[in-house]
Amino acid sequence: MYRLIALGVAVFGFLIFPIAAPHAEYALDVLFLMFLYGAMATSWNVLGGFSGQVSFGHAAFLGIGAYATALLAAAGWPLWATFPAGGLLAALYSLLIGPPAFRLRGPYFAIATIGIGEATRLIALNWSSLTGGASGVTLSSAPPAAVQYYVSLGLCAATVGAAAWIKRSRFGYALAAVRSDPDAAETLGVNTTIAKTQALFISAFMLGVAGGAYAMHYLYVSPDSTFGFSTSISVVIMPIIGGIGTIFGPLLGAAIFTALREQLEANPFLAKYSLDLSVFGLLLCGIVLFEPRGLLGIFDRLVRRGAARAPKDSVTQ
Amino acid sequence: MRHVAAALCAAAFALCAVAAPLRPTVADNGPDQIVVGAALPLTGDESRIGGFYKAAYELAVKEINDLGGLELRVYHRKIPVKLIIYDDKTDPATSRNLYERLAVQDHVDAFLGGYSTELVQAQTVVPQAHQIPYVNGGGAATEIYHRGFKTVFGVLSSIENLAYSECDFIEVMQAQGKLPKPLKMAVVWENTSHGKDFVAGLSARAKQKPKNYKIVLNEAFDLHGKDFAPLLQKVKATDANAFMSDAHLDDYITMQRQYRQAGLHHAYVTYGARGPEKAARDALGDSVNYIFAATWWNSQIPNAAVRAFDDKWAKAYPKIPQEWYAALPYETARTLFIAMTEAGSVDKVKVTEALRHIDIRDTIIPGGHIRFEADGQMVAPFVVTENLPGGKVVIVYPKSESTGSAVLPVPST
Amino acid sequence: MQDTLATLISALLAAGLYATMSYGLALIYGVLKVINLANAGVLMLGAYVTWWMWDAFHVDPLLAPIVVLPLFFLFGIVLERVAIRRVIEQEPIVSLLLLFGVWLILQNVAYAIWTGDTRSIETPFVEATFKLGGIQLAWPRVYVFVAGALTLAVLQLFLTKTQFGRAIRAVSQDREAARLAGIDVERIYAVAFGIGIALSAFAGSLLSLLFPFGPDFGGALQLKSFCVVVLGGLDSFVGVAFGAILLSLAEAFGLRWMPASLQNLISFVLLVVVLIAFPKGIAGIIRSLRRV
Repeated sequence: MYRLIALGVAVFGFLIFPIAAPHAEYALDVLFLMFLYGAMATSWNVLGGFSGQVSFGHAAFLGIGAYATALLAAAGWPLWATFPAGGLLAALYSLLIGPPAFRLRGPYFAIATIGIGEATRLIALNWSSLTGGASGVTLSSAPPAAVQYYVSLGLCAATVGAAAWIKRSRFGYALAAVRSDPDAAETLGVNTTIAKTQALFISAFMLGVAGGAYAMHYLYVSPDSTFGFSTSISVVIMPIIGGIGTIFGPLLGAAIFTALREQLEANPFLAKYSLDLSVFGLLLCGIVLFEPRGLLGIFDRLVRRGAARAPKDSVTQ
Repeated sequence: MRHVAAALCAAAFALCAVAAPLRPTVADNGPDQIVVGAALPLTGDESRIGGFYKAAYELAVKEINDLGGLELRVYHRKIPVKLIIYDDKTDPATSRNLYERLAVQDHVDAFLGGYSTELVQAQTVVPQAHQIPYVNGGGAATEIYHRGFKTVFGVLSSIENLAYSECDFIEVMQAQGKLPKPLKMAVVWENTSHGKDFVAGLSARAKQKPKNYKIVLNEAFDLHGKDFAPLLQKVKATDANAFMSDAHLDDYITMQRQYRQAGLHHAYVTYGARGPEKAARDALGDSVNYIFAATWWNSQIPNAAVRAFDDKWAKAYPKIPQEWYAALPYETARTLFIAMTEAGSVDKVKVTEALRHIDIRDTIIPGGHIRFEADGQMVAPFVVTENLPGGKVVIVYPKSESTGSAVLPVPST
Repeated sequence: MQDTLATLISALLAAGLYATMSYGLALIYGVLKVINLANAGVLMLGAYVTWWMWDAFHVDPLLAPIVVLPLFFLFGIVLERVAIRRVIEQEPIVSLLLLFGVWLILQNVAYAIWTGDTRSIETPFVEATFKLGGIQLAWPRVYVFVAGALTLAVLQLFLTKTQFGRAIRAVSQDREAARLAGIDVERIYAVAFGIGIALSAFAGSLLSLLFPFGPDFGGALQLKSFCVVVLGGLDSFVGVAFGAILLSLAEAFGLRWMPASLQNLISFVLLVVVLIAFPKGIAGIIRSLRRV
């Protein structure tokens, strides 16, 4: 009962925040990023968490979405129309690179995706006639901060909602089968390649749309900022920290990622030594070694331990 | 479990909301401080230069505060200046985020710019989005100013003009028979707007005067690269007699070392705006001899104002050499403060207007005149220098600023 | 003709560099079946330790391996005992993620101790050149090549002629059979991992003579290492050498007609193509040809 109230309060709070606190511009900015990262992390999770295909090159899709928005907006398209266009382009790109990459398993797939991500960045950097090369593309104006916030919030909600729906569907069960044992899944009649390709398609589409929101906010896209390896890494770290394969795990990871990055950026001592790297590195190592289900897994354990104790006490009383 | 997650997110949001300070209220007799902010590459690939900019900005601010602050007409008093500098680690995304933070959390009245075109290009979207006046002495590519950003101003003359200045000098040398005609140029340029400007300028001049120039190689290289051997192999394969590169300091050092190791030699060698830096001389020793450069300022320009600045800088920072990395940001800060004084307040619209119409005649920048064009960038002449053995640097062009004659063609070792 | 010869020599020297960087990766994969994603971090730290000894204590960088090799061998053993050991039996993606986390931490160690400024070693040797039949060569590049060739020779001798080396090969071929034969497999894991880390750090030490570097050094080179190891056949050192030569030749001659900025694209494309089409690499192709 209390949990439902807490959830309701949180949702309501987020919805009215810009209206309730009109002068908290900075908090609005941070929350925008938190929800955007939440959408990005959830998108990756559909492929990496649900179907177990860990990709280190997902920035390619974010970049395509970001550039699509920037270039189409410059050509006169209204902003809202550029988002689905960017998503579609990213999804189409996934159809191109998916099938050959999916012939690889596990770590080999991961390494191939590093290569694919880098190759996409190099193409964007060198295909100047299309992308402007190293100069990047600048958008002329951005919608007001409150509008951006609701776009990001809506995107996050839509992505999480889609993830929840997928997980509970037959498709989701097929993906889970692919994740735990691809060969057994095949014998059960699941076409693993098609399942993985579909998951990638959805993942790429969502990340492409998120890329559009990214461009809308940052107003300037360049090959390094959108296609860079560090972007790919952050999209992997967030779901792993929060809880890979779950619905809310990526969002939790995104919240922590945003808060930590924000605090570390401006603190001169911490920024000088780039301590965010250690924090995420240690979290990653810790999770891999001790609790692969991430922070949600840890909370689950604590909750279970608490629940296991309570009945015992009541029995002895 | 999922509710726990949601509750945690709510907690994170609550923390952020509480942590965000409210906007300070401004009383009728004006703010307590004038807040000016910048993000500089204090660590990372451009850290050698970030330090110069920080020192220059701090010197300019100190001079103002030593006099009690900036005299602003509207408030009938002097108000001290508070300077906030963040480290963007030579990363464009971080740079942009930090300017955003300066705008919405630190509530700056104006921005001072960072250093290096790729960072300036990323960070300038913030002054545009918030319509905050922004003056920089660290980004010279024309693309920065061709985006219609009305509050962005630049004290560095464009790289295209840099290329033209070097070409003017080359033509004088060709007339004197010291350089071959046409000069066959192998042009390698960093893959940024900066490099694009450089090759655009050279190409335009080559098209205009085909008897003087011929471009035999035109290749881009990735910024902060480490291995230039393949690129230099390509240069070797041409019959060029001039090596024209556009690079930033760390690439200049790496490339010149590998250039020498590959056994390359040309009659004319330039790295665009890099050449006489002490850091390069320390790293490369004699390998920097006879390199030409076109820069925005040089400490040896023979006039009294420049000498006065040299003395002032030497007194304040005896360990930091007097290079254009010191003079330009200093003049940038001075320009902003003069604009504020002319506007008479910190009102962003008024300060922007004042910058648009500014006309400063007592500057140490060559040309002696600070004035912004319609696109926000300044146009000023460059000085061309040559490195000579023994750690000497001589200004060879234009004649009015020259301190010696050029040694050309570059002697072979 | 002179031009082609110069390109060939340059490619050969580059191959020596690529091979040296990849031996550690190949050993660790061959024995533990673990992909060392922290290879770049180790390379980077090897370079930093070399630079630091030169900058702070004026130690000639050519002498640095005396310290670097044992230091990182110990580090490798500790890392294996503490962390890698726990995840060897799990699916390979787990160790990949773990080592990725380790890479992040290693980068931070570098930032914390030496800041993010670019570092480079500047000694007369680093700039020195000599002429060989009209072609100018840089001493450091030749030195790296020779060091790499010696490393290959020493490794081969170690693996074929010594007891320990043979035990390592047994474990890499079939760990259960090796266990049954009485080999202490856990000990082999630790030692092999230690040697692999030491080799990578040694490569980093050599690289510090050639390039300037920062804490994120090694990322791009790491992908080339993967390409070399995969090309070579994942568990053969001679294969690694051949893979390195193939990659460097592809790059050197590919650059004749493509922009220099696309050089890294060659290794990426090769990597993906080989992973998909020839997963057993060159060694696998040769083996299957022998069978025919």
